[in-house]
Amino acid sequence: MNRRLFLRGIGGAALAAPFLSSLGGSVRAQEAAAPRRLVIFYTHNGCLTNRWFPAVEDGPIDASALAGKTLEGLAPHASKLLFPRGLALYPAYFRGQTIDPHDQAMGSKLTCAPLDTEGSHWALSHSLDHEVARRVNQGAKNPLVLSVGTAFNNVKGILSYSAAQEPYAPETNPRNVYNGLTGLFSSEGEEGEADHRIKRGQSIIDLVSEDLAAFKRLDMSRADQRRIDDWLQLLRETEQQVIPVACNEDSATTLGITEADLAAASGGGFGVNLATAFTLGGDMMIKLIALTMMCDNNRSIVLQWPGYVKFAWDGIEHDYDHHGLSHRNGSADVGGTCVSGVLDAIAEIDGWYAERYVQLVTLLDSISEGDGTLLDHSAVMWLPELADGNAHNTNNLPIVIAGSCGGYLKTGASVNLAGGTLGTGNSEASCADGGMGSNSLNTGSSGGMVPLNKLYVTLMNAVGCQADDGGPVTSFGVVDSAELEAGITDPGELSALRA
Amino acid sequence: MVLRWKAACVCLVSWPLVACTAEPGEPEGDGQVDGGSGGSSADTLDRSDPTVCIPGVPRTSQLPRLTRVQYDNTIRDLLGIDNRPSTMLAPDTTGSVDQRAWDGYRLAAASLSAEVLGDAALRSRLIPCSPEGEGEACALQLIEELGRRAFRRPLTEEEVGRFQSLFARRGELTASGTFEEAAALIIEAFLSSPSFLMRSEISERADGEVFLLSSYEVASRLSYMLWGSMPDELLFEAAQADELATSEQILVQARRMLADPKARETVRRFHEHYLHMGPGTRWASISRDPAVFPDFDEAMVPLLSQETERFVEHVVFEEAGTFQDLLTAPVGFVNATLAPLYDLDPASYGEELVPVDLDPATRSGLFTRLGFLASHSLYDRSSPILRGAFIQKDVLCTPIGAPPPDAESAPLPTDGLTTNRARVDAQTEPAGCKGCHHSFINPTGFALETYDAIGAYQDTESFSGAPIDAAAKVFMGSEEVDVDGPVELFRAIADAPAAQACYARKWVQFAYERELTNEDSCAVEALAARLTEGGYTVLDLIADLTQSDYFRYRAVEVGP
Repeated sequence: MNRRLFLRGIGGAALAAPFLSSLGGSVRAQEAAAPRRLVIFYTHNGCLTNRWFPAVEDGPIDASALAGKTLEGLAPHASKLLFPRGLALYPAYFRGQTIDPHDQAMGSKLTCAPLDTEGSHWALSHSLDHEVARRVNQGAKNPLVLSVGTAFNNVKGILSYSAAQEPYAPETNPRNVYNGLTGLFSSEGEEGEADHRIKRGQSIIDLVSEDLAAFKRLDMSRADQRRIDDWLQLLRETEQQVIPVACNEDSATTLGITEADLAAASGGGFGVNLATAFTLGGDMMIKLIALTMMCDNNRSIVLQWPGYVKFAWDGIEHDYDHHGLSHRNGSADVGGTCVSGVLDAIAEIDGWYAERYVQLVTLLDSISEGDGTLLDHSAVMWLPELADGNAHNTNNLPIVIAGSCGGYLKTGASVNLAGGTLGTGNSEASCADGGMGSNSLNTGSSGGMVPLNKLYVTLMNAVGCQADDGGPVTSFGVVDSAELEAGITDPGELSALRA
Repeated sequence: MVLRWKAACVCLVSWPLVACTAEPGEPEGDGQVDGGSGGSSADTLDRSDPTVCIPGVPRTSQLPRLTRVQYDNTIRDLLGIDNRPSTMLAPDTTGSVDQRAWDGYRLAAASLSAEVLGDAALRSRLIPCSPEGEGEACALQLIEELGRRAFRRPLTEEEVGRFQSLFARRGELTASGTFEEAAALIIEAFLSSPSFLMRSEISERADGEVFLLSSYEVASRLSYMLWGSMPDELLFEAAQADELATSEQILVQARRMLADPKARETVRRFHEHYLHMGPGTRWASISRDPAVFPDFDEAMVPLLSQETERFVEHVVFEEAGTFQDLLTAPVGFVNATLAPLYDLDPASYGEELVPVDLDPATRSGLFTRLGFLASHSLYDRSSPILRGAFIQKDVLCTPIGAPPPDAESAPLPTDGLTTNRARVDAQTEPAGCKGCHHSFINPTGFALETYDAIGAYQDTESFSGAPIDAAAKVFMGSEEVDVDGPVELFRAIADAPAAQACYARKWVQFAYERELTNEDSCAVEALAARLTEGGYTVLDLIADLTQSDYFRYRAVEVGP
């Protein structure tokens, strides 16, 4: 059975036809079940947690639980949402290490590993997106890690690690992402043109393979041999990839990925201002995530938004950068004096990111795949750097997952994993009334200390990762408590999150 | 031996250090290195501390890939296209080429070859002849000449054959099979080739346990180190004549190359690295409380970096200055916007930054220019902690360890304290902080309290009128030096062997583009000794980076 992908109802229009027309084309292979995928949508500096969490802490949720909340825009998708409540990062600032709250919330977030206490503070293990990519991607290729604007190549900007102390910088140019897909497009129509292009590409791959093979005659170190072997392997796998029929230029056009749109979003790849990068660039990255799924070119995807930016787009005009606002005082200092209207400013940023998340979820849910939608076969998780940005706490984290990942995850529910009452945090304990008062740091939460590792294990199983013995995955990361020496103390997934 | 303090304290990039709990321990010599450095199986020498000199040839990869900066410069010099094509490439890594990297290389190669095809001037520059008949002779000439420059060595017969067969298939591989299209195809294939994308060192001429680099390989080491780009024709000629075989021959070329404008960019990039400048650093995001600093304007932010860059270029190239000159020269670069911060009349200046002799009693070198002072300050006050920690860690290479818990949340005491100095000392008074702060970090920063948070000179505190006290005892390596104010501080640092060795080490690391090994530390020691002698210009130092064994030999990496 062919895997049939078609769009329905982006922007209200019925768009199935363009994709159906490509059926029967040069499908290179078929696969029975839809692939399952993990998408991580990542934002910095926390949020106003008390406005963010749904009204229900433990139990079924529907649109009413989101009314008046930051995530109100997700109301139409309430039945496809899962709020895993009471999770915490390990190690984290004050929990095992004391390097810097931002360094640790970034470096340990997807690695569940300590950071190097010296030098650049890079994390000492690889990240979840790489673990998943290795286990479920075709050709075990690296994850698709995206950002917009100028990505910081330091511990405060890097979320993804391919190995210990090997930061994996995000791609920020939409055109490069698109180019990674166009080579997969099935060639309909312009036979002659496409024909010589395919042969040209193959002839260059052959020539490059011969150049690489010549290096193998040298007496090189093991590390250098591996560099050559990996490159040769990559060239072979490029030829063997399974590509769905919907992976074509028509799909791209229907999604709104055209040369003109790419040029506007990429600015030729250089010199894009921040407002363009966040608005047009962010919009394009979201569309490219959908196209990447339609081409099945990656099943482990990260979209991380930069944290140290001053919002000045989409009707928002701030005097201070997001980081400074999250500290309530407009600066990198903590404490101090609240700047005027700071809670409203943070709410504007939270709302802006919520709209982007809603856009991503809505788009993926509008594209049919097999017996459901792209969203149904994915787990699309909004994961924050911090819970509250002023307290810098990483317990009781605000996390939402859209999509059941092929029916593996519970949906339409909030699940209190920690027991007791978690509450929604105290983000407005300081600087209320728009006032200029003194900023207290008591804006975090208490409780909610279930290790994030267990959520990651659940997600790995949801996307179809297997342990080396073929069974379900039981642990991820290096540490799951404040005792760095103790390793993983609480293996296993979170069965309460299972459908 | 590396001095280490148990649980010592550190200042964080965006977090002023305000409290420490750990006691400084006795200096230790254990030199524990995380993760192991590999490669010490055969000898009994202790390689756990890479700053210790062990003579020999460092073991390095034979296959370093072009960085994005090198790619841009190489394309500029190879094809004559100067439009930053590296925006199409994946971020720099030292690991294997993955799908993302490969996609980037392919896109850039296709785009650049299409650009050549569509531009008559570029085509005539790259195609060295007019094709006759089938054009095979001209194609061969193109393959050999472009190939030598793309691979930075003459092609082997086998390689020439591969590109010739590509030319022979031009009918099926291009739209209409013209010579120009075939030339573009050949260019695309060169730009996609590992021998172009990697600066491979493949000569296997053994000399004992190590390998002698070929003259072509030395030419590439020289050009990428000094220019960040491929060799020019004079270097290729020297390589062809095998005239890059001795240290003397290499030095002659290095001197020539340093006089070329391309060397200025390399010196600029090094100092950007030395000062932690650039996007995503403190220098790029300076904002000040308008209530305290009404003169500060965000338009100043890029100028602060430019001023420092102009200063470095002036001292290194125009004055042929030394490291000591960098730390003491009183010249500034000023325009109408910056003039008020130097207490100069803006009416005397235009938009352009021009050199000005500043008051040598108040300004002394790189770290007394506005950029460093303003970037190492806080929103509403100067930061002796940020400034002092930078000078200690990055100028003196003092090995200050990881930070303690609770570093961010202790408030700055203000009651009854009329100077920033007194407040910061009080803030860092708890026993756990004191060891690092009161001995190392704070005193160094206090000597710079004569500058406010935007770098302007001050002799009284703006909030209290109290006089500024900039006298301090500052540790420089193992010595403790009494200084009064910034001019004395930087005179002493300029003369401090610890700062000289630190500067030399950072240059070696930057130039060799990797973590340094014990063998490299011998080069560092030799350069530092020359710096200490004095009269040793920065250009001398850079030229001498080509005089280590690493520049003529390679040794194969060991380990997994």
